[in-house]
Amino acid sequence: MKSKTTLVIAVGVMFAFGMIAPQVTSLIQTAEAHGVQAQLQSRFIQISDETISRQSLSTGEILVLSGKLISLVERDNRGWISLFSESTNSGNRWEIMARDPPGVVFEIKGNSVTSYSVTAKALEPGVYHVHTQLNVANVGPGLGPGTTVVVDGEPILKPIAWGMLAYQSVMIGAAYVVTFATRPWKVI
Amino acid sequence: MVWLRRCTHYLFIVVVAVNSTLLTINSGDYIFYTDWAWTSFVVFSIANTLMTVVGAVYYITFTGVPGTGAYYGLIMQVYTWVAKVAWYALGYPADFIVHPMWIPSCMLLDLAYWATKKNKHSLIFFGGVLVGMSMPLFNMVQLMLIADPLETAFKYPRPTLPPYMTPIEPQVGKFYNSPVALGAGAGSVLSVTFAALGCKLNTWTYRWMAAWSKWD
Repeated sequence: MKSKTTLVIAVGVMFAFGMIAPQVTSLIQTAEAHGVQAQLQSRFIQISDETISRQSLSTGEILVLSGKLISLVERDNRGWISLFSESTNSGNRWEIMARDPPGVVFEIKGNSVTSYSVTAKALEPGVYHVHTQLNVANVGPGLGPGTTVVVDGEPILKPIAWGMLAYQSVMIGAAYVVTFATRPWKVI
Repeated sequence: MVWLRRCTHYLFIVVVAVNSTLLTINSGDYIFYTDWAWTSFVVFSIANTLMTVVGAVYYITFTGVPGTGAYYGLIMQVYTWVAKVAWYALGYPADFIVHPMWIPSCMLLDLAYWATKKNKHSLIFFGGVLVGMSMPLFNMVQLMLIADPLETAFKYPRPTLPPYMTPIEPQVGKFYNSPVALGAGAGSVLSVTFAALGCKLNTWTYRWMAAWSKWD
């Protein structure tokens, strides 16, 4: 009887510890900086002098990332530039409004220095770590050092593809008609 | 015996629902990378064609009622809306989320079964080819109803896509610009085989039920 009581108490203690342990560990953990790993920078084309226009903005406002793309290789490359952000929330948080060099895919000459800027509209509130992202053809992406950006305000919803929803709805309606006309579940 | 029939039916519904939801999420996932749209369209078409045809043929032959295909397609297509809402909630633009159109192809399967007076072999041959040929067509309509996928891909950075997975070059132009033809060609051949598999699964199910019936 005694051993059963001990067992129950032991299981109870383990259960209670399991419940509070995550909170305790989160209280006593040491603070660490959000460091950017060296390998995020491409060894082919580096992003330098990255400047981010503001660190606090509201949804609907504009953020501009600018800097220089320094080619460290002899050959010419093609790439496209974008914005990469991490945050604790989910949501598509940015809409690219403009790029410089203009267009999407542009050429980066060997050993050249190319100024760039990316203009993006904030769509969703949150705390982000925002980087410049350069995607180079046949090489891969590289990130700039980045900085923390806080966005507040109401989320801005993205447009809905009503045509596709209508197409789906019409077909679903037709299936309902056939289904209720034939009633396949009656034989089951 | 009716309890066995009903239990088998509900088991089937659960299994197919789980399978098709997983398949939709997995194959649909490629569609979300819309600058890969043409490449992923073929993968998506073939995967969904085979899933549709095996499930619908199994279900049609299980009930023997033309119309069961539409019923099945309706159930499965409505399931895919769950995946759509989940991806939208993750932050993908609605134009990125193209989920499959199963119903019209399932109706064609019903038609093949009904028009040939419930002939199982006609269901396999004609129904299989019809589904394989039509599925990419009906799904391509959806790609025509959304905003330009390339423009969308470059306009909205993708929240769940890590940088190393970002496509560098748009994949437009793969498969000689004819993903529908490739999807329909491969789909129509493969789906006949899978229609036959659906029929065979049905036979096995009835044999399994018959083995149970000795307890009656």
